[in-house]
Amino acid sequence: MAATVIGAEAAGGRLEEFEAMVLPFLDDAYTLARHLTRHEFDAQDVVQEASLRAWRHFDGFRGGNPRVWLLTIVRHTAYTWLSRASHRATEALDDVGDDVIAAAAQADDALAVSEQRAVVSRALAQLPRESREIVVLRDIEDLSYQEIARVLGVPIGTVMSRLARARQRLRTILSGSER
Amino acid sequence: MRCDDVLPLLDGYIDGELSMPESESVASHLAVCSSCSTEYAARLESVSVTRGALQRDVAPDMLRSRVRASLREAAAPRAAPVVVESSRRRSLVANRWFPISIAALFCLVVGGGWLAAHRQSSEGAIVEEALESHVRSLIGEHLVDVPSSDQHTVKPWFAGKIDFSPQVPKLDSLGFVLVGGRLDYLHGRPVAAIVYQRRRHVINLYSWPETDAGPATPEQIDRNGYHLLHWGRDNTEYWAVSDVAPADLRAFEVAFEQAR
Repeated sequence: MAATVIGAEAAGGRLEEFEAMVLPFLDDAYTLARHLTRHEFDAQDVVQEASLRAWRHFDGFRGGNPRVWLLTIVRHTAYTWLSRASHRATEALDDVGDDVIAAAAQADDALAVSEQRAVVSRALAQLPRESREIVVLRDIEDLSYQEIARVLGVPIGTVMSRLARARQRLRTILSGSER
Repeated sequence: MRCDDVLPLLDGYIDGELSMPESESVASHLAVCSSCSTEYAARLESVSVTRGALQRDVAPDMLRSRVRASLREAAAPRAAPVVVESSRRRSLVANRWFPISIAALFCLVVGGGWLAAHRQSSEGAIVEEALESHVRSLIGEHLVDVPSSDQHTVKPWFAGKIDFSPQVPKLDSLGFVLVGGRLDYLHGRPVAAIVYQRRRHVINLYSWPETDAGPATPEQIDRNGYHLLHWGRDNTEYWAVSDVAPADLRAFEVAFEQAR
């Protein structure tokens, strides 16, 4: 009986530790999920699932940056989630429907404090997922190339070339929307 | 370096992600090649716009509660149901400042080394003073004298302490959160230091009146991972110092000039 209580307390402390370490990065997790799913409620489901996954694997977490660790899990969860959601087959193929862009733009318009913000958000939503995620990780989440490499599981050289390509695409869309 | 070698490095250069020798080679190529420097300016501009316009989302409260609840549930067979609220609060607070103290420690190590190495050089006394002040503000417990995110608290605080009233625009919506203000001493005179935060990075903005104020087009100076932006407007001298990406510092200057 006494042993059970001690065990339970230790596990409770472990959850506390997990929450203190991981929950401060819930905004980061939600941001990445929202840009990957392009849907606010889908993003919430992804973050909840990712948090549970992270908790289940917390024993395997050996230090390092908890934010990078959580974002890696969020990304995997989002990809699995998107491929599972078969009714979103077009989304999975990254063939963006007009309605998706319109919905994303509308959501952003509601939040937007500036015209520019809405324009850039809309442009970002049009990028293929590979480009979108790297712009989000670098220019919104402010991760270093090294950290991005870890999240994406690719070499740093790939991060640099992929980021340059993604920004080029974004620039093309933005210069088109100015006209 | 040829143009073909420089172009793939430009984004890394903008992000401050190149090695020191690479970064120097790119800089010296840009100084002599007009087509590459035009390309660089276009990319820098676009990245500044993107970074200035896009913010992190805030997770809805609903999501926060859902995550907490589902974690409780998942941990239930292993964990005691009663959670000690106060201890979690404490650790969350500690955790919130943890990245900043790490950043400060990093500044102490890197910045301290740089300052020691450069003390002998006489070049750019203000650059050195501003950097030193920036680093000092991060390592001590004296980042701000008046901690407030309200410009109507920060601005009046300077009254009577300094012979001018500094500009303290609110830039939260553009991603630069006002942290507070501090009285500092630069260039042989008391100056206003307004402190903003960009994600986890601190920006110190120094200003003081000067009849012969700095350049209208901001001049960027890079020193070992720190960036300084220097400009003058309306007989006021401005120096912004931070370890944010150069594009972010430019976005800050644009936001500041538009809002003030």
